[in-house]
Amino acid sequence: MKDKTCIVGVGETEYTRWGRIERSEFQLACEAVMKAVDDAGLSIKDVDGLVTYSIDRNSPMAVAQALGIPTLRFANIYPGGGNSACGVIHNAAMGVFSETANVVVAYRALCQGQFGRFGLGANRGAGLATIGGTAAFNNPFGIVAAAQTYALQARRHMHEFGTTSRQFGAISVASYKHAQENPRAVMNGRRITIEDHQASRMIADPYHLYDCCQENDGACAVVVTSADRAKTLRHKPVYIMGAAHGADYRDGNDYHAKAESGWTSAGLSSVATDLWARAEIGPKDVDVAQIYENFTGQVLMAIEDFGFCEKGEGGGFVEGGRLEWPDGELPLNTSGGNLAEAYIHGLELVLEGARQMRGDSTCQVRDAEIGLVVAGPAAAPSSSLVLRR
Amino acid sequence: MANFFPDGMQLPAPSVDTQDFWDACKEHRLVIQRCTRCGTYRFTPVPVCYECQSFDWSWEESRGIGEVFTFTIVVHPIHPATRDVIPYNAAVIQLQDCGAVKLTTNLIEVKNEDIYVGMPVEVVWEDTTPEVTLYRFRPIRSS
Repeated sequence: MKDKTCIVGVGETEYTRWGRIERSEFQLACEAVMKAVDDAGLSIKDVDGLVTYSIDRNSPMAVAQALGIPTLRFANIYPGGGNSACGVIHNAAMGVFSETANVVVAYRALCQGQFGRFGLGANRGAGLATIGGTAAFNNPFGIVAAAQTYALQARRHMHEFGTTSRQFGAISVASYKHAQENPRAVMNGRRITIEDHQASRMIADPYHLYDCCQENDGACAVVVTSADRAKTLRHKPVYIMGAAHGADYRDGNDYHAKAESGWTSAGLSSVATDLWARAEIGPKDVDVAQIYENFTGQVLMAIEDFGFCEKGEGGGFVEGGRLEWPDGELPLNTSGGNLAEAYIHGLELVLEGARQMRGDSTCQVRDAEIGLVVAGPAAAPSSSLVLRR
Repeated sequence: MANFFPDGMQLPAPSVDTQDFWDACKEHRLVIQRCTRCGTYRFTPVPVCYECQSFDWSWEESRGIGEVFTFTIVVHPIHPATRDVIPYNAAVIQLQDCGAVKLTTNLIEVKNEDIYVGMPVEVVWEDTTPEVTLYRFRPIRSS
């Protein structure tokens, strides 16, 4: 499948702090799809596949029906949450590559203002008196949300490798720095320093406010079609060089059941192995990376999982401006990421990955040829893409 | 001993797969699932062994001793029922026995700032309601 499918269109609504957008989340989903289709120079009549992920409030069937798609040949709601932000593109590519559909649009709409902070709402049962499933073994003990669960893992990484909160902060500083160049970013106009990061209020030790993704309203979408078709369209094609989606041994919804090494990893080792093999490249070939910041510590562990440095050395790797555009060795989250552009569940990272390959980013990496995009770390099954121009 | 959390904090809803575990808690017994065929322990309770895929298991009682594997101090009250108890600790304990499985709990009789990874701890039972008993842990103090 290498280089046989391409991203040919990207579209997004405005991104705001949660609760600011009055249009429905469903409307935003439809708008984002239309903008991406428009960007591709196509019409809705060309679209025959729709895929999304996570909670299915805006199912492909509802969107297809509302938009008047003539024939829907491929529809999917990928599992999990932000871990599927790349998986959904992979899935769209599968639809095209298998000749099941011609043009597949992947989208995600998230209005946390209308439905509550992701991860705490109905799917975590915060309003219920009792809780079943694996959450029965952590909610009653006060571990009810992602920030708390991931803080437990970050603490373990600090214990085993000496990683520090300031090192987590280097990731926040990079995202916020890049957001200053991006007028669409919610945190445009709000630069932060490491000291700001350290002084920001504690959420669940060791995670401060600036270690955590935002809560936003917005939607975005990506159009995928065959490489042959892509060459006839408006933009330079962005090739999907490789894609992988999966979980390491014993990595699932229940963190208690993780293998020992899983506590200090982002669960992406097998995904990374598959991805590099399919794209036939390695970490040294990557010019720019977008890595989903649910939380900074998990980004650091993802950097280790992908082999940019040895396990345990992520703290030293992220320091000293290495992640910062324009001079850093591995510019990271170049439109501001989940931390500072917007938290559209990571799909906005795919858009930035594509823009870097088109040469269109607000923090454009010079001569960028190959980009990595990594979806929700430490959430199985996670996913990743290699894009190239 | 006062309940760690106030009323309104979520309680576990036992299921077919977990009823035996929570019933044992009511008897102040911490029991861990063990595969009958290969002896592998597992937690949280699921109906099949990850090592050998057997659907036969027994429950083995743990001594309830372990150490802090990791922990957090929750400062922001994400769950509304915790508003009056922040900052509160939550810890993952690795048991000394029963295959060194890990469970989530809260530490009592200790100041948050004194908690550390590796701290030896022992189980303490909290009869939270007439229907539900939960396991908390406390540092083991040498006498």
